[in-house]
Amino acid sequence: MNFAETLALVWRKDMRIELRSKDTLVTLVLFALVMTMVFTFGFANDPQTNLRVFPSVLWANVLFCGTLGVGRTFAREARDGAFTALVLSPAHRGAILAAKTLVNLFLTLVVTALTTPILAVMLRVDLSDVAGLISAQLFLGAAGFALVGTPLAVMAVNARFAEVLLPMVVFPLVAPVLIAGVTGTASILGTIPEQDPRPWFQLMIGFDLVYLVGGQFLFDRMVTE
Amino acid sequence: MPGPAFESVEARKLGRLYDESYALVDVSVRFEAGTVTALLGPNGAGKSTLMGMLSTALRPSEGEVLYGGRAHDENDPWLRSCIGYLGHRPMLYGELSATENLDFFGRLHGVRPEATRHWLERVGLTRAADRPVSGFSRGMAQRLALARALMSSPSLLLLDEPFTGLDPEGVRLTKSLVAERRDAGATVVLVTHDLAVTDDLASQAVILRGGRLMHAGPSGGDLAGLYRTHAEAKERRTS
Repeated sequence: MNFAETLALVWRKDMRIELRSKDTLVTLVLFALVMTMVFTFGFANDPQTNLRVFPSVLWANVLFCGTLGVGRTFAREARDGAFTALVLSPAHRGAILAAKTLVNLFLTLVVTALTTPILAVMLRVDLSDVAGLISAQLFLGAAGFALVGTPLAVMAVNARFAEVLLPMVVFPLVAPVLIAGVTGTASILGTIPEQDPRPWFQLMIGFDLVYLVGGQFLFDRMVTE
Repeated sequence: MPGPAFESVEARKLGRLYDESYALVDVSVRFEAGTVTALLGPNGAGKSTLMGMLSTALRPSEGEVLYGGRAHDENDPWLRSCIGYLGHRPMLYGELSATENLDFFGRLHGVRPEATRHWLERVGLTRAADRPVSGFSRGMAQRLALARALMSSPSLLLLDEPFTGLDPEGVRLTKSLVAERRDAGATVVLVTHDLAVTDDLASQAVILRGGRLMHAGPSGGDLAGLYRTHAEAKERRTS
């Protein structure tokens, strides 16, 4: 099987399981909604304050949902040992990683697409003129999370205290994405003096490319204990 | 059917360190094609560690494994395509049906799609083909896991406790499928505690204790006797 066929096969298998169990998606959506409620009820009705806190709240949602999502990447495989059968197959391991990364990206984007409008409405932030830019940023940020977190989630298969260990490793590594996301969104919304969001876009694209290539190189070695 | 990919599998001075203690120490043993070797030993002897290294799932801390007299990169897809591995756990997806599981793993191994139906029939799961594996009994899951390991016609078949959870009919079926693979020229290594069940199947025996090799050679049709001599006797002597 070539790279694309393996990627498609693993993606279809994961999505079929997710559509049947819905456990990851439901967990992420509920978690994101609770986060949204907690944040929005905590702020005053002052539109200027809401506009200023919106980027932080938005990216905190991405941070926690992204981390929760990647932690479950190999949970099913680990439970019954299917992970071993998967990585011992002759399939291209880079394609397995790519499929898992796309599943994580897809789930994070679904959750973000559901909760961002709710967050905007509840904080009364008008995104109609900047929806395209914000969406592009969220896509790059979610991709960064998936690209960093998915290969690292392999350690959750075997490590003790993996639920604690994974966020501790992922958070520092995704810090550039978070900083670029929060600052870039604030630039787009015009709440900080720096008005040009392009450097933040460039930073995110560069970050994503580095981890895309790095993950493909390292994953093969990471799956052998 | 094509012949086996290699004539032997050889572990050379294998050692495996976990944290600060060795699970396997200086183990050298050769497994010939067309034979079934029973890998025996008490709990914690290092059997699963050795199986893990033969399967390429575990990286040796010391030594190497030669497949057909050659060392291979552990990440070589060709090598992985030659190995069928059945571990302690079924290694299946509970949310998928039996058919979907075999389809998935079969395609990863480049097996023809028709093989799924064939193997479901061989392991007697045709009627349960469309049921999710999470609802299977331990024995049914074990039969399906055996089909998964065998469907790519592996040259090296590694079976860790294959008789677990099986009824007498399942045991007979497993033995006949393993014998079939052996007769096709595959190297078969089988970890078991069911010595009586394996007696007529395994012509070779390897006994480990405390991570060290105690015996490697013909089984002589008396695995229980060999085990008493090489594993239990040493235990009594040291206690």
